[in-house]
Amino acid sequence: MNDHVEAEVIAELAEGLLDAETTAEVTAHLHDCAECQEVAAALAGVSRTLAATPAPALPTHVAEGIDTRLAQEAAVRGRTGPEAAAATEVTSLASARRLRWSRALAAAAAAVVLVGGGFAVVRDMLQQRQHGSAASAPLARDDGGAGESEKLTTRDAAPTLRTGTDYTSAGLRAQAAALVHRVPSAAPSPEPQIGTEGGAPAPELAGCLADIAERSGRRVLLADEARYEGSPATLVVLSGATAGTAEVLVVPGDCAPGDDAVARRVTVPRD
Amino acid sequence: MSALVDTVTETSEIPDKELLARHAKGDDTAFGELVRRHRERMWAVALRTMGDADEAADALQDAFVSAFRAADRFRGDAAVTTWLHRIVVNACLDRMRRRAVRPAVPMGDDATLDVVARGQDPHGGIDPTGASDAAMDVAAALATLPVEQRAALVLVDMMGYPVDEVARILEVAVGTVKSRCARGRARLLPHLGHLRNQGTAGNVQGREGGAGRP
Repeated sequence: MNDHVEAEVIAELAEGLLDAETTAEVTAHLHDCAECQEVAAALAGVSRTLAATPAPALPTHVAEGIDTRLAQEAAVRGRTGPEAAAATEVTSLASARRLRWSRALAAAAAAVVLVGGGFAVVRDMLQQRQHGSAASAPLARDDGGAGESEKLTTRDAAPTLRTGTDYTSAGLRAQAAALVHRVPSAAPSPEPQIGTEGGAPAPELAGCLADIAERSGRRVLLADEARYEGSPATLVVLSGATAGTAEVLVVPGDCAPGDDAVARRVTVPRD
Repeated sequence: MSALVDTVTETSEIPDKELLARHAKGDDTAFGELVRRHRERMWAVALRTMGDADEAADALQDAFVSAFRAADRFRGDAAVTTWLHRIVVNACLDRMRRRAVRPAVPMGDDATLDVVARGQDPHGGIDPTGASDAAMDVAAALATLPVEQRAALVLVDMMGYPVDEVARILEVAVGTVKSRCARGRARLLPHLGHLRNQGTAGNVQGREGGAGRP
């Protein structure tokens, strides 16, 4: 018995994958060769070892991470689906500021000369701004009509969620990754109707986010008014230091202007 | 975990398909119930396939989100569990292929070196009765396989699913599943042969994958 059979061939024989001729040859060899019989037995043993390996238990933080992601997914669905009326949970800082601008501009329009179609002009302008409000899109081109709207151009488009998620120290990495997945992609997401200011974030939050953006030199992509270790906190997603990453800050409290003490910061991949 | 069919009878009488249909119609609780039914099993599949807990957690989250979004595209001619497994396995394979620019050994060098070292030492310090040691060894050994062989062995040998079911999950022919399993087992022989039976360990582990034996 000089010509032993390779283990792979023996494994294929066991699976019935060999043609009739090879099957006959290998079977005959196995019949006489103790060493190859041992290999066949060991191959069956590999399967038994795999089968006997205890299944790993699902860690709590992984289960929670899944729940968080799906809750956020459900919120998105509620916003964009037929029940869009329940959309107040997700608002946009940008739209809140637009609303304020629209009031200011409407007043200005009335005070100056714009007559008749003035409101439509303002509304068209706002509409245009919405189309350009993807997180990465510079809005300078919109500035013509809006006068000194520098704040809009640099701080626009930071959607704010209120998931109420209780972020935890142990689960932060997974939770932060889930939050980063909520960052709107390049395409502008449907904005809440102008006029639904009920869910808009407080101006203090807008100020705080602008503060963070200025100090870090990063873009604020998303904020979530939530909890951290049981206490109120704002989670802020910034563009990362390197491509393909995002940074998530945990800011305790309500994130008022000047109050950007960061409790924790994690960098997560962004794809 | 013997069969995929068991799942319907568990916590509730509502069949998986019905839950998925309710979810597609806007029922906010249906998908959560579906996830609770299957997440333990899906975790086992993801972790064993990927070998890394963080990566597996990310893949599993991605998979459930995909399923959440794609529920209305579910075709009723397959079992929901088959469909869910397919999404989970694909999420894992996608991640591992994206990572493939990194060194060829997905588990990291330590784990593999560990296996190699043990394989070369007849008294490799393995306690065959220690379940966690054995599990660790299995994970490290699986990490040495190409991802397609690993996925097939996880589903067939570890999860115990029938070959034709695994073929549907992986969307390949039954023969392909068998062939991946056969080649995978042969490659695992030097790593896991000794776990089966300490008595023959010395003989079995000397054969590197069965290739080129005299």
